[in-house]
Amino acid sequence: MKTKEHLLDGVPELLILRLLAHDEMYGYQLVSEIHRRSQGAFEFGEGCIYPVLHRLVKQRMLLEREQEVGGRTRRYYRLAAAGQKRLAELESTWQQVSATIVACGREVRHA
Amino acid sequence: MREATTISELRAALRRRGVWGARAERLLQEWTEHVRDDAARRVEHGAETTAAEEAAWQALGSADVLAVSASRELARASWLGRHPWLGGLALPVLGWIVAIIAMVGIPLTIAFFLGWADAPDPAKFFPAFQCWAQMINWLPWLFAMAWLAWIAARMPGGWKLYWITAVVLTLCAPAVKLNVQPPSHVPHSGVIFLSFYDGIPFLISSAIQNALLHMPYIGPWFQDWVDAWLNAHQPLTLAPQTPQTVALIQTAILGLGAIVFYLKAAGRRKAISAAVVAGWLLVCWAMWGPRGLVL
Repeated sequence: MKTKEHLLDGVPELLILRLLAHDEMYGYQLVSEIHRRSQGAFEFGEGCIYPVLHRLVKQRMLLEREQEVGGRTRRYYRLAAAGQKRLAELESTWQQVSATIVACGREVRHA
Repeated sequence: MREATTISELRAALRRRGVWGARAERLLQEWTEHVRDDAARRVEHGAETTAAEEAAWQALGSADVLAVSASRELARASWLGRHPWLGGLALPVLGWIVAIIAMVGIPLTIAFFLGWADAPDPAKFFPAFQCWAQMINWLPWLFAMAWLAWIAARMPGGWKLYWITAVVLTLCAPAVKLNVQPPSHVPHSGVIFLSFYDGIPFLISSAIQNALLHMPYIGPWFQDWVDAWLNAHQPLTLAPQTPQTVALIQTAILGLGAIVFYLKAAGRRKAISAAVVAGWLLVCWAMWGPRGLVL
């Protein structure tokens, strides 16, 4: 699936919020987790995740901290309270959309 | 080498998309760290170092795709970015309204508090108003040049584009000008009014007249002709005599230029905003230009 399709516009945000709901992660770790858990289902430039992370930080949905690791600076992200609320909203919307599409498919098959 | 080249390509792509300064540097730093992590993992899995770095940069994404993504997310992060109609249409119009009101309103307020209109000798306030008018008349040009410089610094054409556009805009734009006619020593004799700079018609007419007057053989003949014409008619200027016509033509040129520019640069939404601003300029001129405000 190409994430440039309009249908998947909000997906990177949802994926990020979902992954950070349980663990604090840095950028590369986050991208690797998305690849691993989605089994390569989403094709996007890995760098595209970072602008989304920065936006979410600016919107106070994520918190960040820096840590020196092996002489390099890593920036760790974790979910803030506003991010948890946003995650709940996005998940609810996603489930509604998904359920509606499934229901429509069922109607068509029965017709 | 590959890292330095790619980073400078990424920086240029970000700049073209309006992402620069600390925001761009932070993204570049994180992208670089990401690539180093990815390359290290690939080397652990047996890849050769150079090939691993190459593959890691490719996996990161192309400079254009990353810059588009950064620019889009940046827009989403701001309130104006999420409400482009306000940023592209309502706020420029509001800005113009406020600017026009301020241009005339501030001197009027000062005049009111100083009691200029009823002062027995209003002429003594004239230098202050003249200074104000000078300042106001230069501000739009200064802002326009600064705005152009801001855009030129990020565009592929860079400073060449800046100089070309600056000259064209300076010549063509019918900027609103605040005029203060000196009051005589009688109350209610001073006038503040808005007008447009003559721009190109004035420059062309001056250039043609000067060129003709200084040409050998033709110059004296032209001078005689001008003198004869002046004796028989009104004073000679090649610019149209009615300021309303000049203003209308110049506003139309400005509006058309603005629409073309914005259509090429940012789509239909900004073109509409440019047209509204040009229309508003015309309305302001029609309201205040011919009449002026008698103080």
